[in-house]
Amino acid sequence: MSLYFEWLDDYMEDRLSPQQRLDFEEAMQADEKLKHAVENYPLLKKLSASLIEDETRQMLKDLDNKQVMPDNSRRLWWWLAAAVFVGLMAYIGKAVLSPSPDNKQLFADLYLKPQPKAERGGVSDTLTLTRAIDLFDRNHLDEAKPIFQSLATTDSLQLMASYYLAHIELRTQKLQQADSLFLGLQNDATYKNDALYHRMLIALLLHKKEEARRLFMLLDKSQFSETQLKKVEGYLR
Amino acid sequence: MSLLLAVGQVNQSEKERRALIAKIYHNTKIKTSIFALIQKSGGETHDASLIFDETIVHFVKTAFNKANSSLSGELEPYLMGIARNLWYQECKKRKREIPLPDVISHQTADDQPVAEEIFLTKERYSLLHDVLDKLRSNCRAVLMHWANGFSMAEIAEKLGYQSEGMARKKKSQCLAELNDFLFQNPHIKLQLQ
Repeated sequence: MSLYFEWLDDYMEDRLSPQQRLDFEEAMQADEKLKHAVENYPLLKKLSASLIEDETRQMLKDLDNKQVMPDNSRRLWWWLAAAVFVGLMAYIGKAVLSPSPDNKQLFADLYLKPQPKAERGGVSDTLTLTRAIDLFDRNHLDEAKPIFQSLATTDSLQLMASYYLAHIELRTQKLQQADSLFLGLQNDATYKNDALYHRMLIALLLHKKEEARRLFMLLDKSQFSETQLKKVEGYLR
Repeated sequence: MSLLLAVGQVNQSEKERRALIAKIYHNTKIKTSIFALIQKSGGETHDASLIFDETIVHFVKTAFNKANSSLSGELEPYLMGIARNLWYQECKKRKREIPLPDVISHQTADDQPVAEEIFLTKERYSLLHDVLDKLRSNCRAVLMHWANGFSMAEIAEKLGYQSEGMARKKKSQCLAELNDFLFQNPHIKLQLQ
């Protein structure tokens, strides 16, 4: 850089002495960059002046980005919250609606298949009942359920249909519905013990041990094998 | 906020400028008023957003210039004046596209400073930014103050140079640097002229 660059402002604003001016112009003839600076002085100054504009625009850009960032991070938090919620719901669903490994074992150990009870009904109703029980035994619960629901409207088969419906609900883990149906059957002598037993099982599945113990006390133990009773007592301890 | 205080903040330091710009940027009252003005007179949201940003740029440019250090009054009406004038100029530029709204057409644009160049084209601004970005940050600060009328003594004091002479030397080096760039890139110089 020519030392005369320090005189540039003074030259442009006519603040140099006549001798200095001559020296500067001489230097300008020898240095084309200095000459270029003189010729482009207004542009150089204008560009330098626009540095404040450039800085301001940059600051505004930063502010815009800052405003966008929270939006994005908020969106990210929403996604995270949604993911956690879905995960939590899945966990709850798994814990409540589907049996935990412990509940699976409990169910396998204590569940007793329904015993067909003698019911009186019309021939066609009896045939339908037989078909429904057959479907139930082959674990076609979805197909059996509407048939039992239909039979539950028949006075003579109402209890039997409700009994199987209660078992269907229990086997499909609809514990509250199953409990209600068994509760309804509890008043009938034929189904009382079965209903109490399975309500006890439901209470255990719902981790209501006190309720299970209470129901166990009401059971007529003579109708169960000793092995079965020991299993139950194991879970009630 | 008084205009005098705002101008003082603009001139104090980069940190203070940043704080003031953020304060205006987040001022809902000013923003809403400017948006209402633009939208009431046929502008779109993006026009209002553009004018709002340009208003801040124009204000900072004006406040940073030593020739305007004696501005008085309140900041908010001053900003509204800038916004109104910028929009007036923009409407004039787009006269075939946007009919001048009544609220603007009866305004005279001489009650507040009028922008010389209201909107740099995106390409031109990008080019300008690229050129200025080549300067080191201390050069940017020195040249920015020099070109906006600060004396060498003020520059030395503000930017921490030991003497006025040191500030002058730095300014000369930085100006030579910018001059070299334009000398070597005459096509860019032509575009910027």
